[in-house]
Amino acid sequence: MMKTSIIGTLRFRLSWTHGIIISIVIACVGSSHYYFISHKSQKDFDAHLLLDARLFVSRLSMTPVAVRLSTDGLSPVDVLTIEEFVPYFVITNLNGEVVPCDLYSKYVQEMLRLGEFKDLLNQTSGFMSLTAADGTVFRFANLQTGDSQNSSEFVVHLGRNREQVEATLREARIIGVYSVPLILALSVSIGWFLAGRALKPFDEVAQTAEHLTTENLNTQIATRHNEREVQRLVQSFNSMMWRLNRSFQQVRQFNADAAHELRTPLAILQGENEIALRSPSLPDDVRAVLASNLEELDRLTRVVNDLLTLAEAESGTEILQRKPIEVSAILRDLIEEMSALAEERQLKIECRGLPNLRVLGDDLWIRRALLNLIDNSIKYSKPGGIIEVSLKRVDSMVQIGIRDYGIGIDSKDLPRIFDRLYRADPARSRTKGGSGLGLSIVKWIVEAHRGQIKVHSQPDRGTTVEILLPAVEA
Amino acid sequence: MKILVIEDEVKVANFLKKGLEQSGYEVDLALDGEEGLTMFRGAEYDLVLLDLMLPKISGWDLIPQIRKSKPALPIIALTARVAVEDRVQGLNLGCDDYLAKPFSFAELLARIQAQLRRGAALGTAELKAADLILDPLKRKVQRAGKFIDLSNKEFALLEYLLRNKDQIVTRKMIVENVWDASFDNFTNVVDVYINYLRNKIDRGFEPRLIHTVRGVGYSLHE
Repeated sequence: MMKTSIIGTLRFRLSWTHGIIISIVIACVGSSHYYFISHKSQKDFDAHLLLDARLFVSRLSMTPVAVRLSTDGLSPVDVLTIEEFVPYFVITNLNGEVVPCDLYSKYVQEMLRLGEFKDLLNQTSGFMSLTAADGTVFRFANLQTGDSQNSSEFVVHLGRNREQVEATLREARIIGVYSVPLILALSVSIGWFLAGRALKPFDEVAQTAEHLTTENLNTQIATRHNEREVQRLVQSFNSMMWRLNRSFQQVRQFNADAAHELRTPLAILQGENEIALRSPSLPDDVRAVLASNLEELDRLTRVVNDLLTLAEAESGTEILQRKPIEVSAILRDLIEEMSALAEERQLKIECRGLPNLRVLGDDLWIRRALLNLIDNSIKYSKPGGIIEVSLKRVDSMVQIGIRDYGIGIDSKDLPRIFDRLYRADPARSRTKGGSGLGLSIVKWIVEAHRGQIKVHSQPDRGTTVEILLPAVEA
Repeated sequence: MKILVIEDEVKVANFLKKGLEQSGYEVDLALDGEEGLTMFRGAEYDLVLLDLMLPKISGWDLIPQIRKSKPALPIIALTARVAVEDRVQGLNLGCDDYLAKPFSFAELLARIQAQLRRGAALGTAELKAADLILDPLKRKVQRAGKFIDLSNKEFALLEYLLRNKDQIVTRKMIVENVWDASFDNFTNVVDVYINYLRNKIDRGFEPRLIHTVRGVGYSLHE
C-alpha cells in the first residue's frame, strides 16, 4: 500500500469539519450569552445605583439645604449609615464645583485631591463609568437635587465599585476564550473516533478490494455491518465484481477457443503439407508449392502464437511467476549466447561492468523481453558496429539500456513501434522473420512488471532502448 | 514399435497415422479419451501420443491413469494451448514431452525417437562417434587422440548431439535441451553454435560427423 498523508483522508476531514463547526456554534452561543449577561448586569447595576442615589438624595432632602450640607444636620448614626451605604459620593453644584462636605470618605477625598473625578464632576445626569489610577472601576449615577424654585441646585454623584462585576465578566471572557481550543480539541477527537467507527466498514470493503486480482475476481465481499449504506456499497461492489469476473471469463474463454480454432487448422495444414513433401514421387513444381506453403505457415504460426500470447497476457491471467532475479546474470547469459549471432554479422556486444541488481520478476519473461531487444539490435545494426548493454540503478528502479548504432527508426514511426503488427518498413522487416508483435510483447512484459520502456532513436545513428524495472533490495 | 495416438481432430489424427506409418511405426488411433483408455488396456504400446483436450476423458485425466499402470511408458502430449502454466502443468502431470499445435511433423518425429531411446541416453559413460570421444565427467573432448577446447555451450551442444547419435534433432529440441529456453529467437543461435562446433571437431578430420538435415535440424552420425 502506498503511504499517503493523513490530511487527505475522509476521516481527517470529517473530524475537523465536525470540530470546527461545533467550535463555531459554541463560540457564537457563548459570546451572545456573554453579551446578554454583561448587558443585563450593567442594566441591573445601573438600576440599583439609581435607586441608591434617589434614596440618598431623599435623605439629604430631609433637612434644609444649608444645613444638609454640613454634618450638623445629620446624626453620627446617619453619617455611619451613609458611609456604609454609599462609600463613594461627591456633591457638586451645577457648575461642577465640589461642595465641601465632611461626609466624603477618605478615599473620595483622596481621589478629589488627585483630580481623578474631574470628568465626573461636570456630569449633571445619567451614568458614567470611570477607572481610577489604581485600576478600580467605578460606576457613578448623577442626580440633580434641590428645590426647583431655589436657584441653588446640586448634583449628587453616587458611585459603586464595579470590581466584582468586572471580575466575574473577565472570568467569563477568559473561560470563553480558553474553552474554544479545548472544545475544538475535544470535538475533533470525538469526531475522529466517530468518523473512524462510521468509516470502518468502508475500510473493510476497501481492504477486500485491495486483495483482488484478476485471479480471484469471484471473491465476494462479506461484511458484518448491516447498516443500509454499507450494505448498498457492498452489494454494488459485489455486482460490479460479478460482471467484471464474467467478462474476464468470457475473454479467457474466447482466447482459449480462438487458440484452439486457429491452431488446429494450422496443425493440420502443416502436418499434411510436411507428410506430402516426404513422398518421393512428387513432381518438382508441386514440391515447390508445398515448400513455399510451409514457409508461409511458419510465419502464420509465429503471428498466431504471438497474438495469442498477447491476448492471454492481456486478459489478466496471471501468467507471471515473480521472484527476485539477478538482472546482471540474465544479461550476461544473453550476451554470451547472442554474441555468437552478433559475430556472424561482424558485430560486438559490449557491456561495461554489470552491477548486481535484482528485480522482482519472471525470469523467463524478462529473458524473453531482453532477448527480443538484443535480437532487434543485432538485426538492425550495420556490419562492424557495436551494441552497448548497460545496467544501473536509478533511484528505486533498475535501468537496463540497450544501444545500437544501426539504421535507427524514423521519428514518424517511433510512436507506433509498440503497436501490434506495425512495421516501419514492411519489405525489410518481413525478410527478418519477425511476427510484428515482438515489441508489443516486450512492452507488455515490462508493464506487467510495473516498469517502463523508452526508446530514443535517430535514423542512421542508432537506437537506444531503456527499460526501467522496480528494484528489489538484495 | 507401436504407438497409440489419441486425438479427436480427425484430420490431425489421420496425418499423424499416415506420417508415423510412413516412418515405420505401427499406429493405433483413438478418437476420444475413453476409446484411448480401452485401447491402451487392450494392447502393448511403446509410446502414447495424446491431445490434452479430448472428449469424454481429457488428456489431463488420462495421463495419470496411463502412468499408474505403465510408469515408464513415454507419453507425449499435444495441445492447442501454449500458456506457460499449461506447459509446466503438462510436465508436472507426468508426460515426458509436450508439443504445442501447430507443430512440425519432423519435430514430432524427432521427439518420438528421442523418447523411445530415452533409457540409453543418460549416464556418465564416455560418448563416442567414430574417433570422437566425449567424457561427460571430466568434461574433456578429443578427436583422433587430440584434445579439443570447447566452451561450455559448445560442450553441452556436442554432448546433446552425441547422446542423440544417428537421430535427427530439431533446432527447437536443441534450444529446449541445451539452452533450457523456448524462444524462437534462439534458433538462429543454434546455427551459429553448430558452426563453431563444426570448425572445432569436424574441420580437418574425416569423416564429417555433424550433418545438416534441411528444414529440420541436425544429426550427428558417422
